[in-house]
Amino acid sequence: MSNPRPAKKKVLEKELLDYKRVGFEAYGVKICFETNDQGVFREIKRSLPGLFPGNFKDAGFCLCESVYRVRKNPRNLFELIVDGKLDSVSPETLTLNRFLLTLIRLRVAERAVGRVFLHAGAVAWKGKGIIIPAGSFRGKTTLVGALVKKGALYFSDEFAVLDKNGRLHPFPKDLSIRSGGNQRETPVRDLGGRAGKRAVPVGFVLLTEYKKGGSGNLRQITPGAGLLEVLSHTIPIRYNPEFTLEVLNKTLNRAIIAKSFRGEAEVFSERLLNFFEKHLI
Amino acid sequence: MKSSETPVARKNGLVVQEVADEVLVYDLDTNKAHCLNETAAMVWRNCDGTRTVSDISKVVEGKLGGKVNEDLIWLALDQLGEKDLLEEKRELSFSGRSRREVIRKIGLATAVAIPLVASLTTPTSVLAAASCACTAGNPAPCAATTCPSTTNCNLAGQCAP
Repeated sequence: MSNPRPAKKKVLEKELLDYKRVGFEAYGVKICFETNDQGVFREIKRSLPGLFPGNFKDAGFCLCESVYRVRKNPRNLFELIVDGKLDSVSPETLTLNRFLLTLIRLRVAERAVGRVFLHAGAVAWKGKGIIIPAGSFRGKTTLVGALVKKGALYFSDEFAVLDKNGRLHPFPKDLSIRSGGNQRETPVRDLGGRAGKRAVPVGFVLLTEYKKGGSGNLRQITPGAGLLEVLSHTIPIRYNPEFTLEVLNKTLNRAIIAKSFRGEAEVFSERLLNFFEKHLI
Repeated sequence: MKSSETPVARKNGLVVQEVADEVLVYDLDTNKAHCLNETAAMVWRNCDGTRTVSDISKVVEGKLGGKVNEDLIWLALDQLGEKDLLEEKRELSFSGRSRREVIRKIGLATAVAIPLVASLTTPTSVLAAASCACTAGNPAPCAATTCPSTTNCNLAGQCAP
C-alpha cells in the first residue's frame, strides 16, 4: 500500500509555486507572508508597513521567524495557517485580514529584540512618560485621546515599547477609536495632537479602567505590587521572562505607580495631569 | 517543621528581581509570578539552610527594628512553601491555631508588617492577553479572553456582542 503523505506534500509544493510572497523585518523580528489569493495579498502588503510605524523594512522571503499563509481552498474558504499549522478558517477576508494583522503585530511584540512591549496606552507629559496598561475594551484609547487633547505627546494607544534601560519609545500608530460597534483609525493630528519622536523615561504607571461614576481617586501602590499587575499586560513575559522582568524593574523603580477606577476620560485626564505634576514635575 | 529546622529557599527555575524592598519571583516552571513584601522577602532571603527559624526571627528583628515573634516567621514560611518557593514543602503547624488566629496574634504583638506573598499566573496566550480580535463566525479565540464576549465574534472581527 502506498503512503499518501509524499503525494500530498508534492501537491502542496506544486500549489505553493503559485503563491505570492512578502517578507519584512520589524524590531529585529523577521516575518513572512504568502497567499494564493490576489486580493488578500494586495490588502496585507498594503497594511503591513502601518503595523509598525517607523520600524518596518522590506526583507526577503527566507530565514523567517514565522510564516503566515492564507490559502483559498477549492471550496472558496480562506484558511489561515501559522507556521504550518491551521489556525482558523473563514468564508470572508475582511475580518480574516484584520485578525491576521493582529497576530503578526503580536508576534513581533512578543519577540522584539531588545524591546519589551506592554499592552498599554502611552503618552508623554513634560518629558516624562505615562503608561496606562490595560486589556482591550478598557478605555485606553479614550483616555489617551483625552490626554492628547490636553497637550500630552502621543506615543501609542496600544503598546508601550520599552528599551533595555526602561525608556519609553513612541509607537505612534493611528488611534483605534470605537464608536457604535465600529472602529475607525484616526491620525493623532485629527485630535489636534502631536506624536512623540524621542524616547523618554517613564514617570508614571497608571492602572485604571473605566467605571461609571468611578471616583477617579488615585491610590499609590508599591513597585512590587505594580510590577505584578503590569505582568498581565506584558506581551513577552513567557517568551523572554528574564530580560522582560529586568526591563520592567528598571521602568517601575523610577516611576510612581497608581491605581484608579475612573469616570469620564475628559475629567479624569485633568486630574491625572495635576497629580502627575504635583508628584513628579 | 520544628524551630530547630533550617529551611532552604528554592533557587532553581526562578527569575528573581529585587524591587525596592520587595522581591518579585518568576517561576519558569509554572509561569507564575510572586511578589514578596519586605517581611516575606527578608525571611526568604535568610532561608539559607544554616539558619534556624529562631535565627531568622532574630535577623528580621534586627533589620526591621521591631519585636518579631517566631509565629511571624512560620507564617512567612507557610506562604513560601505553598507557593513552591522553598526546597522542601512541609506541613507547618501553628500549634492547633488557624492561620487567621496567628495573623491576629502577630498583628497585636508586632509593628512589623505581616508577611505577604501575592501571586499571579501570566497569560497563556499573547492573543488572549492583548487582543479581542477574531474572525467572524469563529469565536474560538475569544474563549480565553476578558473581552466583552467570550462566545461571540461579531461582524467587525471583535470578541464582542
